[in-house]
Parts: sequence; structure tokens; C-alpha cells
Amino acid sequence: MPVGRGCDKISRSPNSHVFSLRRTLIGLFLMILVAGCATVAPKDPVSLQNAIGLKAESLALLGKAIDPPDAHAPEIQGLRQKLQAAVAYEKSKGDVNSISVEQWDLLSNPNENLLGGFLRKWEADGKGQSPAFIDGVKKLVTKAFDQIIKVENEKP
Amino acid sequence: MATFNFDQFLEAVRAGVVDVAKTEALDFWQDAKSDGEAFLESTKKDLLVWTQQLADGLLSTDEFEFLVKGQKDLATMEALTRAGVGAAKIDAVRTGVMNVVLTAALTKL
Repeated sequence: MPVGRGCDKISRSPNSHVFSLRRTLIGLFLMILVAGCATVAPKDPVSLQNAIGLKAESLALLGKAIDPPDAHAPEIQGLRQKLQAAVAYEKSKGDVNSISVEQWDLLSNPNENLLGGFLRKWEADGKGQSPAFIDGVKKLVTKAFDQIIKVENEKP
Repeated sequence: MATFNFDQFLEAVRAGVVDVAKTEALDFWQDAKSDGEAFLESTKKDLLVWTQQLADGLLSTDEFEFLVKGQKDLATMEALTRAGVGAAKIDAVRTGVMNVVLTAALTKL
């Protein structure tokens, strides 16, 4: 005997709960799949290589900051371009990569006080920087790159 | 027709999800705590060194200010790292939960 709207073809048989349970399961799986969109970009060996390579290059250039910036203008410009390329590459992965983008941006931004800011200061001063200052900046830049590398390594 | 024991399925899912969440959350909490402590310790050490160097004339006021602001930027980096690692953990939990549900469903069917 039918049991209400939508139930014309379903009789109250012992197996009707199996049918509705199957639908429930399918619904549950679909919900999980739909809700299962990634919240982070996947780990990227190119990003890791960028970070590791630019860390070494940056620290090497910082070691030369004892000299006036004019002596190293092509290297400063070259590093700046590579940093910009790294930021652009991270941005290309979309919103799921926003944290990495923010970190790279903070590191390379000339208006902040990490690598980008140091390069701007070095050029603006037009002279070699003090050893104590260079050591301090090297520590900051090393730690900043290590944070970027850590985030990339933790990605799925 | 084989019947599906929904109660057993739900219990398997509940137990599995609790395990996944505990493991991932505990890992995250422990890492966050130890990383946070290490960061604070390192920040304190660096600030002490720079303050001394300023007093000794090895750093100018300008340079000292740059380094202190840089330390603040580093704290922002550290916070972003926590957020990034947290987001990766959420993905790990989501994957873990999916596996638990699928395994429970397939073994109970």
C-alpha cells in the first residue's frame, strides 16, 4: 500500500530502509567531495627550488653590502627581478596560495624591512653598510626564507 | 539482499574521525607551541644583541630601527606560516575523514 507522496513505487518492505540508506550514503559522499576543495596549493618543487636558490643568492649579495651599491648594481637589479618573478609565480596559483604570496611579498617589498627594504636602503644610502647591520639583516632574511620553505614543505 | 548496518557505520566513522582529528590537531598544536617558543627566544636574543650594538655604536639609530621593524615583519611571516601549516592540516584532516568514511562504508556494505 502506498505511503504518501513520492512513495508510490516504494512499498513498506523490509528493504526500503536499505534503499533510503543508500541514498543517504551517496548524499554524504557527494557532500564530502563537494566540500573537499583544497584550502592550499599542492607542494611545488619549483617553488621550493626558487626559495632555496634565492636564499643562497640573497645571502651572498648581502655579504657584499659592505661595498657601495654601485659596485653591485647588476646583481641588485638581477635579484630584484628574480624576487618579482617568484612573487608572480606564486600568484599564478590562485587564491589557494595566498599565504605563500603574502610571505614572498613581505620578503621582497621595498617598503617593508626585510630583503626588499634592505636593497632599497642600501641603494638610497649610496654607501656600504656596517658589518653589524649586515649581520642583523642576514639573520632576518635567513629566517624569512626558512618560513617560506617551511610553508611549502608542509603543503600536501 | 545484504543489509547495511548504519549504526555500526556511524560508530566506525565517529571513531575514525576522532582519531584523525586528534592526530592532526595534536601534531599542529605541538609544532605551533614549540615553534612559537623558539621564535620568541630567538627574537629576545637578537633584540638584546642589537640593543647592545646600538649602545656600543656598532649600529646607528636608523639601522637599529630597521632591524626592529624587520623583526616585526618576521613575526608576521611566522604568523603566516602558522596559518599556512594550519590550512595544510585542514586538508590532511579532510582527506583523512574521506578515507575513514569510504573505508567504513565499504567494510559495512
